[in-house]
Amino acid sequence: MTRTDEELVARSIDGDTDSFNQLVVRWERPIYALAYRVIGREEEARDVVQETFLRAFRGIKNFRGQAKFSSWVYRIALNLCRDWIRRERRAPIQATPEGIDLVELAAEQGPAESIETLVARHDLSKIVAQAMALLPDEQRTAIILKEYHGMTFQEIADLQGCPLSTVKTRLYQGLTVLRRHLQAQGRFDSASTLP
Amino acid sequence: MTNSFRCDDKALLVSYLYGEVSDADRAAVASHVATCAACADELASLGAVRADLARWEPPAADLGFQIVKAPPRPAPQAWWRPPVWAPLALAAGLLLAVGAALANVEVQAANGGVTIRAGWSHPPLTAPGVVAEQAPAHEAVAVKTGITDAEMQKAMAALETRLRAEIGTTAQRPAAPAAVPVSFQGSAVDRGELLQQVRNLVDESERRQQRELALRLAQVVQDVENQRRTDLVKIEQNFGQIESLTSQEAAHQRAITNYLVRASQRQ
Repeated sequence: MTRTDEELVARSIDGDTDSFNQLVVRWERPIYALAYRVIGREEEARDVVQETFLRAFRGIKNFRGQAKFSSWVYRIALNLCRDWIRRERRAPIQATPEGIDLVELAAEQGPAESIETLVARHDLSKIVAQAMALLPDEQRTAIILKEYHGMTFQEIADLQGCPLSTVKTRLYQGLTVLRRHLQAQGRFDSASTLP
Repeated sequence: MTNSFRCDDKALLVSYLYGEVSDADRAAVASHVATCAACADELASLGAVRADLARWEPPAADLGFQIVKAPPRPAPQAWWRPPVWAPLALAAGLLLAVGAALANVEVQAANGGVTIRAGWSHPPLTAPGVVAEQAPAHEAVAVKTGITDAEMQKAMAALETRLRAEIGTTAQRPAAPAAVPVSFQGSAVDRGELLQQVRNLVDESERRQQRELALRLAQVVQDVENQRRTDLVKIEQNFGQIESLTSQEAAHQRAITNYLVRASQRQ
């Protein structure tokens, strides 16, 4: 039987470590993806995940359910990412490898995907990562939360601590910068069709 | 709710792009982009950006974090902890005590040493009518421990005196093993009295064991203390040697420096 986050949180507050570990298993991948996309480094993203759940575990007794558990850990993770960026005092670095290992790519290859498609996908991933690194932290974070974590404008506003209209502005400005960068990379023509 | 859409309303455009919009607003934007090429183009390119963003995957990572309960904290450390060899010393002391319990022990502390004499005092029970003779032989073992402390000698002497007094008392008792007339024929000696004598013997043996244990433990502690002092002296000597070597080395370096200074001044 799969327990809800709320049930697992309640058990964790009562000292059930196994329940907390179920929450970790459930949320570590999204938190890692968030941290990686925000700060752009695998190793540091893993550290952020570990520290996020350590802090959550230490503070679980003070978690009163005023927000969803996921929102709470997202907030912790984003604060840690912000601290990291401030500490490093530089834009996130996308540690995309320069060369592409065709053997690794072949191992990843799905039955319907040619090696050419895979190479193109890796190239695109690299281009997108570089374009995202150009954005200011707030715009990048807003886009990440919207695009990859499916949050509503209001949830993003709550997490970023800003008005809802600001979130929309950040999204628009961020997407516009990305569009220019991707167009400069020859990604798509201005006459693209609607998705 | 908005019934019309203006080209500069980017907030509504973003809401439309993400589908987070009311039906009326959706209809207004759709109606506008159907006639405004610029807005239609912008909307299409933003949609293409979103399509590209969807292809950005983070690298696979080996996560698997688990919160593990911390083991119980160790008890706070006492100001003194028995050394690692303490159980061994205790066991050795017990062994000695058990061995000594079978013998009379004589302790002499003199000339910076302790002499321990052990002699068998309890002859085996004899057959009826046979009087046991006191075993005269004394097996003496001299143990030189290198004790120099006068207080230790005093303590040993006091302990010996006490032991002698108690052993003497025991020997004078009619229940002493050498003087027990034992008969297994059941006619001469009262059986209850015999049992009482055996109990007395057992009690006495236990008391003697306790005394011997105390004595041996005192010896072990003293030996350890002596070893510690010896080690400290050795360490002190080593430090002295190191200090001396360091001073020599410093003097040598100073001489070299002076020579270099003089040589450089000459030039």
